[in-house]
Amino acid sequence: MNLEVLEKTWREQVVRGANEPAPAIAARLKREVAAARRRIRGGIVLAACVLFLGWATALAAHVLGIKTLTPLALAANGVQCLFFAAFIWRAVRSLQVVRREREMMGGTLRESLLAAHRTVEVQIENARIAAWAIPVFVAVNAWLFVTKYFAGEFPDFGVIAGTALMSLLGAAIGAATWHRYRTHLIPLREELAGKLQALETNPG
Amino acid sequence: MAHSTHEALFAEAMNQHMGIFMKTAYAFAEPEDRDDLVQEILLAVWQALPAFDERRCKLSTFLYRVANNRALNWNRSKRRYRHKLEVFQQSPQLSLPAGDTDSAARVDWLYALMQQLPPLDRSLLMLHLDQLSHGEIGEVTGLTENNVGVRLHRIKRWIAEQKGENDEP
Repeated sequence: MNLEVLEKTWREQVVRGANEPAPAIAARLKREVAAARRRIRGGIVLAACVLFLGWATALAAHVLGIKTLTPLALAANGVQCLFFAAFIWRAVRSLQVVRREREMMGGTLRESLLAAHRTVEVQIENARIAAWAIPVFVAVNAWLFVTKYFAGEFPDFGVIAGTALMSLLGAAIGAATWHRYRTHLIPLREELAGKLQALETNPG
Repeated sequence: MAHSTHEALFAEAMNQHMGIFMKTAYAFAEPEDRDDLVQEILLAVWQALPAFDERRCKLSTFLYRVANNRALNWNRSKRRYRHKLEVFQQSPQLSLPAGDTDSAARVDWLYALMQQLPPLDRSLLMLHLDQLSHGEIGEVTGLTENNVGVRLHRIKRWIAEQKGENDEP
């Protein structure tokens, strides 16, 4: 049998059973897209809330006379602000790259693969930044706790509990990031690079 | 793009080009994952349609691009995919004229063969089988017409070799 027979058989295939009308499917997809957007925005809003909550609490406590805002407390809030601002900046940047990739879905295979490769590169970059930023964040906060303790602004139990909690959280996020980096992102980058190379290679 | 245009284009895509999505899913996913990939392709189409410009390409070309691009990236989300989307009320299927068992066996053999091809070659073969010209395949993939021709020639030669080696119906 020659290829023409296979081609003819291929063309005889028809879609059956697609009785769900397009508007109903469109409505479901709209819900999915809206839910995904809410999840992403929710994450950014949560980070922004953490950023401002620290300041709001410190200022409220100062105004109400519960706890004076010392230069050390100001510095601690400032440092945390810097970390969270950096986190939000990276998150927004990653979001832009993901959006760009989605726009490229209607482009050629090459354009789409390049956009997907770029997204994975940014995710790898994020993981690498996290590899040093998380320990730095934990260390800086632990140092601030200790400094506050010696300045008499923080109880000894607070130093231990705060540092332990921060370290545990940092270790958990670090381990999850490392696992994703090693088992998902690196193989994916190689896979995409391989597909791009296959596309670039001129078989002639 | 106006809201109504988006919905109208999506309806046109579903009503007239569902075969593109189905064939792509059959060529790229294992039988148990096909419904999931079809739904992922539909989601990708829904999200990509606002960028569609009819002055730049035909709707069918655009849909081939989206379907193939999504399928090529399918491995990326497949591992973590656990019915992320609400499932179809009734899953569509690809089928052949009733009672034609020879044709059904031939198509099954062809899909099994496609699964052995590298992803890019799978796309090229599927587009060729759907009777797209080399120029149109180039529009979907970004390859030159000449490049498409050479690659397809190799794929056809490989299929001919498989027909000799396998129990092709």
